[in-house]
Amino acid sequence: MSEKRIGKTAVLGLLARSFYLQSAWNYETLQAPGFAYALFPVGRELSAGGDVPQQFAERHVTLFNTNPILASYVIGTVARMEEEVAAGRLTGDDVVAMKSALSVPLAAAGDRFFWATLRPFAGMVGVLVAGAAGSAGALVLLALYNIFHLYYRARGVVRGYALGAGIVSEILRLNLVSLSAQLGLMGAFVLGVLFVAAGLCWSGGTFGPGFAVFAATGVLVGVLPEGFQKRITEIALCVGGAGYVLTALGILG
Amino acid sequence: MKEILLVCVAGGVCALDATAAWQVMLSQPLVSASIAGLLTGVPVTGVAIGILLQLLWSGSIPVGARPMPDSPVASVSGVWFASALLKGGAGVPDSLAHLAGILAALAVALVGRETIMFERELNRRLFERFLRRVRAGELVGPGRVQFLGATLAFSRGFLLCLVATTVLAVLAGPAGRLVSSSAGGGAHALVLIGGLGAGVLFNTFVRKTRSRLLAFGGGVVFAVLLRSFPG
Repeated sequence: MSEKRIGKTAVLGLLARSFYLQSAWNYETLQAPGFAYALFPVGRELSAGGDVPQQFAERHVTLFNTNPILASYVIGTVARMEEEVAAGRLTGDDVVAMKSALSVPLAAAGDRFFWATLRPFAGMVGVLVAGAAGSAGALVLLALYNIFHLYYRARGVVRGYALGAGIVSEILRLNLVSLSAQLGLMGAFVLGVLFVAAGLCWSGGTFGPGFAVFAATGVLVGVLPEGFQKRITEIALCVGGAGYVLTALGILG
Repeated sequence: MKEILLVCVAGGVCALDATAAWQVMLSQPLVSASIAGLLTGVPVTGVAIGILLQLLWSGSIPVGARPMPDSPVASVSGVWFASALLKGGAGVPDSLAHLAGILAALAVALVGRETIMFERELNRRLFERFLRRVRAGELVGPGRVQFLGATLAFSRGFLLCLVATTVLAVLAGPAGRLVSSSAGGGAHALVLIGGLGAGVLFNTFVRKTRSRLLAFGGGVVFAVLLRSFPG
């Protein structure tokens, strides 16, 4: 049996399409539209008639959800496994099983690293730089975040496609949990610096009452239960609105 | 008018980046507010508002189906409102304009959250139609669904920004007059909002373990020592 391979251009296509994984994100099938969008050109290339086979299509339009950046590992792996299915060495059920087996651990590790650690960390460093150098802070945020983002996204597709089902051992070696812990520790240090720098900035450069109010509010809000943090937009709106009115009435400076 | 259109396009692009495409973090408040500041000719205001909104929304995590405040469109609209107040000729102090911009952004973020849910419902309907065709054996690709989804995300950001700037343009006059005779600059309210934002980050980074608390203390000591050096 002659073996069909998708080629380097198609692998680059997978990477490009992975940036649109959530374009039609919805509450029912989550990232399924984006996953199908990334994989359908592979199905077209592997089929004899140039059309996506019905079974291939049905495999990739079902519910799918993981971290959108590390989804690239699943996309690359599934593309390689589909080649194996076309060659008769694997079945469609193997592909479906691998998809669901990979999505859960990648979601856990990716959400913790990218959303809960790297993004707030990059934001914090960006804020520190913005306080000193204005718009450059936004560029620092973008650079700091995207070094990791683009590296893991590209690596996921390339390694996933290279290793196929063997990607599991690579994912175990990703070590994002430990990286999250280290970045979290650095984040705590940077936050200490930010507390002092921002507090001084908003209180006229002295450790006076303004600094004390800022620091006390920060620590108090920080130790309150997480339900409070989830309502921070509403709370800030009330606090700011009251401040605006009191300022207008001349009660607050 | 040209400025409003530019701001709305920026709002649409940043809304697109938030979930639907790329996710390179153009949608982060510091970035989108800085862009809006440059577009409206008040870069310092853009950065000042972006800093506070970034602190407030750093803890918002886009995990699963949990709806988040619409921070990109909110940041862009808030900066536009602050710039309108500053250019309005009522003599509004910078810090009060920043405070008003932040309040506008917070309100737009809450309205935007509801429109995100509507957008996702429309996406579901689009994909359902596509699924019916696939299951009926039609050879169609999901490219159209994806394109419509991305178009929907951009349009939602653009339109929300347009509605927000229209409403805020009406409010700019009374809001400016309300505080134009005020002696204060709204600094206390800004400090409290900054404190709320710092609290969100404290919750994210520090409260979890003892080692993090020590690292935080180290950062405070480092910053205080750094400040005590002359120059």
